Amino acid sequence: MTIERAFYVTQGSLSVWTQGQGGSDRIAIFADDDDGLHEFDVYVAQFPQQTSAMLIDVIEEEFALETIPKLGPRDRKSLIERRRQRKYRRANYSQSQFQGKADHGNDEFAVLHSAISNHELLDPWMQVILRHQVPLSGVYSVPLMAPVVFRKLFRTSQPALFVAPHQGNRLRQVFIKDGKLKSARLSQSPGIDEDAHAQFIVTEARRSRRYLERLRLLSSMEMLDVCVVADAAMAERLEALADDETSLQFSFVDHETAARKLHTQAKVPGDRFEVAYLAALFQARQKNSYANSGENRYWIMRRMRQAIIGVSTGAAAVCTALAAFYFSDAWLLQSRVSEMQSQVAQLTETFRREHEKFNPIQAGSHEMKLAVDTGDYILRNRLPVPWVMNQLGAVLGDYPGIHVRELSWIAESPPPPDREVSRRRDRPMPVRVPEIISVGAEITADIRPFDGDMRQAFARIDRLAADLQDRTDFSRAVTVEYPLNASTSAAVTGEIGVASSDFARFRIRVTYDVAAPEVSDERI
Amino acid sequence: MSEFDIDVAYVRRHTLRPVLSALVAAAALTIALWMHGAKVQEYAHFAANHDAVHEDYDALVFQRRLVDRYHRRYQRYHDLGFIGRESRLDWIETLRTTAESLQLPNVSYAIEPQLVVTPPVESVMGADEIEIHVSRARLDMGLLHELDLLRFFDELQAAAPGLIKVDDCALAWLADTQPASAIEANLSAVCSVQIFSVITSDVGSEES
Repeated sequence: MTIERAFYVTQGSLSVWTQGQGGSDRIAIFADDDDGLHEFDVYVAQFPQQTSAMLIDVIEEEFALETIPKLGPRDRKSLIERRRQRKYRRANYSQSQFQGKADHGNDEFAVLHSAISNHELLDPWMQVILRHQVPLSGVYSVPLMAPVVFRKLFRTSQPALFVAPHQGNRLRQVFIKDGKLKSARLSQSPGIDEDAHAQFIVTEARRSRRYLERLRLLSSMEMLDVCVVADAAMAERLEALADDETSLQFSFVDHETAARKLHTQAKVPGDRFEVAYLAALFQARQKNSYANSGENRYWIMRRMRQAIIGVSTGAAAVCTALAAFYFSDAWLLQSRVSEMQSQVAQLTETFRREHEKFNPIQAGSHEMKLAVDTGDYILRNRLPVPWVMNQLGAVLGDYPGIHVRELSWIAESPPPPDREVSRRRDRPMPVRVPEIISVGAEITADIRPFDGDMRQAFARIDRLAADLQDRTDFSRAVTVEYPLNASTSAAVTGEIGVASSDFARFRIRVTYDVAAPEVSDERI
Repeated sequence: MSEFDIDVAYVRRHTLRPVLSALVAAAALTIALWMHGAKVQEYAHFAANHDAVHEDYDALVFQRRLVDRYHRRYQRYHDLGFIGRESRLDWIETLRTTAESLQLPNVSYAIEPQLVVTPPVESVMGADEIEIHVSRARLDMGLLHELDLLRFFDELQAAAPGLIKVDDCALAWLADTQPASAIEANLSAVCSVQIFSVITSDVGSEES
C-alpha cells in the first residue's frame, strides 16, 4: 500500500503534501491554531480515505542513548519498553531503536530512545485524523529518517554531523555514528541568503561537537565530519571559515545533487531540505515510527481489508481457474464417454448379429475344435485294415504256390503309464487312446504242394520275406518260423522214405513303423 | 503492531464483492469437482465396459474363425455318429443288416461296457464341456472272401453310429479247397474294435 499524502508537522503549522508528476507538492497548509485546526478538519473530511503518513520536524524531539545488557529477544524487548516508559512517562509519542553493540562495552548493547516531548503539538492534528478514520501509516520524524537519507548522500565512516537548512529559517543537525542516529537538534538560524548563515553553521557545528563530547558520544580525539547540504557559494564560505578547524572536517552536497541521489523528481529548495525527506517518505515506508498507540490503526485495518480483498480475489481467481479446468476436463470425459458409448453400442450390435449367426450351432467353437481334433486323432491312430491287406496282397499274388493260412495284424502302441488306482472301485478310471507307433502283421502260410525239398522251400520263404520288405511299405520282414527248425541249438527229428506232408508251413512277421501320422480317412 | 480494537465494520467495508466472488468461485469449484468426479467414475465404468465388449468381440472373432475352420468337419463327424450318444441298438441293428447285405455266414459280437476316455488332445478351453466315451467290442465273423472284411468295416462305419477304431484283426482260412456250399464260410475273422463317441453341448441341447 503506497502513501498518497503526507502531513508535515512543524512548530507552528501542518502542511499537506502529495506526490505529483514533478515531485512532492504542498497542497495545503494549516496554522497551529483553532482556525487552522478547523480548516484541517474540513479538508480531511473531504478526503478521509487517502493513505497518509505524518512527518514531524520540531524542536521538541528528545533523544537518549543508553546501554542494556545482552538479553534474549523477549527480555530485551520488555526491558527496552520499560526503560522507555520510565524515561518518557508523559510522552504520547515515543519509540526506541535497538542499535546493536555499544562502542565501549563488550556485552553491552546500545538503545536509542526518542520522544516528542511536547505531545500537544501533535494531539489536535491526530484527533482530527483519527476522527475521520484516515489510514495513517505512521508518525515519522526527520531525525528518525535522517540516517537513510544521509546514507544516500554521503559516504563516510567517521562520525558525522548531517546539517541541512529546514523550514526556511531553521537548521537541522543530526549526529550519525556508524550509520546510526545518535542525536539531533533543530535550531533557529538566519536565512541562507544572509551572510551570517555560514558562520552560524560553523558555530553550531562547534557547539554540537562540544555537546556530543560532553555526552561522551564523541571523543575529543575523533574527527567530526560535518556534512552540509549547501550550494557551491555557501560551501566555499564554509571552507574559508573552517580553514583552521582541526577537529571538524566539512563536506558538502548541493540541493540538486541531493535530489538526484535521492531519486526524487522534486525540486528541493535551498532552505527547505524537508522536501527531500517528504520525497523519501513517498518512496518507501519508513521503519521507525512514533505511532505506537493505535495512531495507525486505520492503516492496519485497511491493510487487513485489502488483504481480505486480495485473498478473496486470489481465491476467486484460483477457484475459477480450477473450476474451469475441472469443467473442461469433465466435458472432455463426457465426450469420451459418449464416443465410447457409441462404440459399445456398435460393437454390441455387431456382437449380437454375429451371435445370431451362431445360433444354429449350439456347440461352442472350442468344443467343436476339441471334438474334431479328437476324431482326427482317433483316425490317425487306428489300424488301416485296407492298407495292410493291399500291401500284403500285392506281394503274395506273385507266389501262387504259397497259400496263406492265417493273417493277423495289430496296431502296436507304447506301454501305458502306471494306472492310477481309483479310490472308488465302482468308478472306472478314464482310459487313454494310445498312439500307434507301429503296425505289425503276421502271416502263416503253406507251400503247397511241397516236394520235400527243404532247401528250396527255405529259399522261397526267404525270397518272399525279402520281397515283402522291398516291395511294400513295411520296413522289416522277418521269418519267425520255417518248416524245419535248422538251428543247431534245436533238436530235429524226421523220417526219410516215409510219405511226408504235402505242405511246408512257415510264419513271417512284417512291421511298419509309423513315422508321421499322415493316415487319413477319405470320408472325413 | 500496537494493540487496539479492530473495527470490524471498517475492515468489512468494500469486501462484500470479493468475498462473494470467492464464495461463488468456491461453489463453482465444488460443483466442478463433483461433476468431474462423477464423470471420472462414469468414464472408468464405460472404459471397463468398453474393454469387456472389445474382449468379447475379440473372443467372438476368434470363435468365428474356429467355427469357420472346424464347422464342416464337425458336421461330418456329427453325420458319422461320432458326435452323439452311442446307441447299442443302432449298432446291433447295423451289424445285422451289414451281415445280411454282405451275406456273411455268421457274425458274433461282444461289446464291453462303455468307458470314459481321457481327451487325447489338449485344449485351452472347453475340455470339460465335452465327454468322450469308448466301447470295446470283439467281432467274430465268418467270411466268404477276404474282401468281405473290408466291405464289412466300410459299411459298418458308414451306418453304425460312432467312430470305429480297429486295433487288431486275425484272418484264418478254414479250408484248403472250395467249400461245400456257397453259404459256408471260407475264412474266419476275429477283430478287436473300439467305438468312440463324443457328447458335446450340441448333443445335450438336441436331446433337451
